[in-house]
Amino acid sequence: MKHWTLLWLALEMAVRHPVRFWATVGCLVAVFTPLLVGMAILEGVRAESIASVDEGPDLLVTGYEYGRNGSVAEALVERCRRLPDVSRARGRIVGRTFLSDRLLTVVGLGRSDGLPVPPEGEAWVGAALAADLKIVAGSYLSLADQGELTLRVGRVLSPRAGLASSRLVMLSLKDAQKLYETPGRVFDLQIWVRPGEDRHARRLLQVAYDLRTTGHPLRIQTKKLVGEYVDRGLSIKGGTFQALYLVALGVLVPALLVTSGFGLSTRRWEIGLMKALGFSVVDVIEMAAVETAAMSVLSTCLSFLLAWCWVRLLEGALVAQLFIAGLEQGSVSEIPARFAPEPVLIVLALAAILLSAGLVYTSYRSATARPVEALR
Amino acid sequence: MTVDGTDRTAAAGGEGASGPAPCVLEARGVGKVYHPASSRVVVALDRVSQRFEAGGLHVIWGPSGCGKTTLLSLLGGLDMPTTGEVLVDGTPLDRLSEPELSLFRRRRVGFLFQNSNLLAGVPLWANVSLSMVPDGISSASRRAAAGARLAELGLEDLGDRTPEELSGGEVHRAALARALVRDPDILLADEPTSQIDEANAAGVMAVLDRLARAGKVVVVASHDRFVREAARWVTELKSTRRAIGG
Ligand SMILES: Nc1ncnc2c1ncn2[C@@H]1O[C@H](COP(=O)(O)OP(=O)(O)OP(=O)(O)O)[C@@H](O)[C@H]1O
Ligand SMILES: [Mg+2]
Repeated sequence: MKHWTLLWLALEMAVRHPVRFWATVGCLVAVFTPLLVGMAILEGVRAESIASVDEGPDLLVTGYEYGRNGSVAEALVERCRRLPDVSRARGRIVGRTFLSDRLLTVVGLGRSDGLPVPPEGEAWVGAALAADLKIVAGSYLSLADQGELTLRVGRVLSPRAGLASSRLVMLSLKDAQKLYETPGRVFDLQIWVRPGEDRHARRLLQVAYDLRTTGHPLRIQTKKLVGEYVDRGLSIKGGTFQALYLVALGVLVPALLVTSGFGLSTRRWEIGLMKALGFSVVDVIEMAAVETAAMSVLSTCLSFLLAWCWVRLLEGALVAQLFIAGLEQGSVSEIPARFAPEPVLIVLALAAILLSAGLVYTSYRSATARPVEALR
Repeated sequence: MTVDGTDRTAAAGGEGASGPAPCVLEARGVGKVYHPASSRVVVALDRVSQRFEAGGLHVIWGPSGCGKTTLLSLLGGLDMPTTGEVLVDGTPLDRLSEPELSLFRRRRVGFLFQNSNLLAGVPLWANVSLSMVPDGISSASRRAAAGARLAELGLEDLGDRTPEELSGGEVHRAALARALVRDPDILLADEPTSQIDEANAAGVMAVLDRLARAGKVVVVASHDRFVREAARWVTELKSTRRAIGG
């Protein structure tokens, strides 16, 4: 009962100074909303990348020339396909080219059973790119690099196909070879190994060994390795974001201390009065803790709501670009974002720590002073 | 600096203290020095010794700046003396732990501040019953207790108003209601009549006198002749400044 009455009094006292209260909450929200947006997008991009790696091949094979990735003879694809443990194999050409001043990614896909591939003379275009260039199925598209091509747009990929494909042009392998003038070569080789739990790893090794004995200089990466590269790249981006963030926080914390410190003399006087009327130090601290908790929870909830709107309605403007290369405003229908509980808890803890420093501590100082001094 | 405790109505006194063992408040050689060991040193109070008992009004009398507020704060445990000690029923206040001292202030002392000190923007009933919050008393009971006190002082309709919506005299009476809400053994009133008109002042003094006769220790600090008239005991403080200068 005692704690209830103190709790209510603490809340009443807090809302008695609406300017102080909302200035502090507003400051916290301004600090935490971008953090939550960044963390949500980072998590979303990570989840999407992991999903696309999971759907990807078990082995990714590239040529190896002078210490760098090089092309591979297309004939190797056929050889791979005949290996006993391989279920599927296909060659790819991945490149970039400009189209009306826009840099886009071109992927030429070799035929392989069970995987959709554009037929020769046809291009499949990512949703964002199609919207950008005002392309619909049936339009014609001219690409030029080493060679030149005019293709009919067979399909516009669904916007839900994910961020990775939204700015792609997919071609048949033959057309891509014409575009880059690399007849008979592919840039990489995707290999799927026959599934079968315990024998999977052994089969992978066997395939890798068989490939090495072909005499071509090859670089072989497993799915796990590719996943780790993706993850590592994202971690570095996340780390950069958090570092940037710490700098911002370093600037904003003094601002926060100013707002929560503003009205400090009133608070000191109020505490002096309560002490004079017989509140104990513990009572005063308890009230400050309630106020801290209320403001932390409120500012965390508001930050979360605003972050959600920022991601869903503003497509993570300003923050998303940090994580997603080549992203332009409005280029995708949905930014990959995932609101995990951890960042929210971190924000809550940060708010509580910051406010405790500004509020519980100063209340403690006032409460331990003699009432006449605090009342002065 | 010197203290002159006189019982002006000794012949008429003695009828008040009834009921359980009455409370006794005592100052023993109590002194207060601000900023000691600096060039700004102020001797606010110099070695006051006085017993304060129930049965009639104690008035602490003296000119402005002689240390009346300082002495009341020390008696109410709102401050600690530099020298000497304050005893309640024989127990020195500086021997009490922080929670015990808080409890003493909450349950046994009512303090009427020289400048009222009500919380702005808070309804009168909540102001009056503020000291009941740490005891976990429900808001309904607090409202009832505050209402009863406010009614006794003629403020029965004003419980939901905030101090800003009151006249100076009403604020003053509300502050008195707050001091009385826990039915304390000790009432310390600092200049209770200085800011209000004669009719209000007479009303307030009547309340204080009634309490003193009902067995409470009532100590009033004042430089008002009218208050001095009502006193049973007078403790006269001389200005310490003049004493040091002369
Ligand atoms: N915090 C302080 N620091 C320094 N000096 C102080 C402080 N508080 C009070 N004094 C001084 O102590 C002396 C006594 O002050 P006090 O408030 O007790 O006087 P008072 O008798 O109540 O006066 P008044 O009748 O004007 O209310 C004064 O000279 C005052 O200037
Ligand atoms: Mg005074």
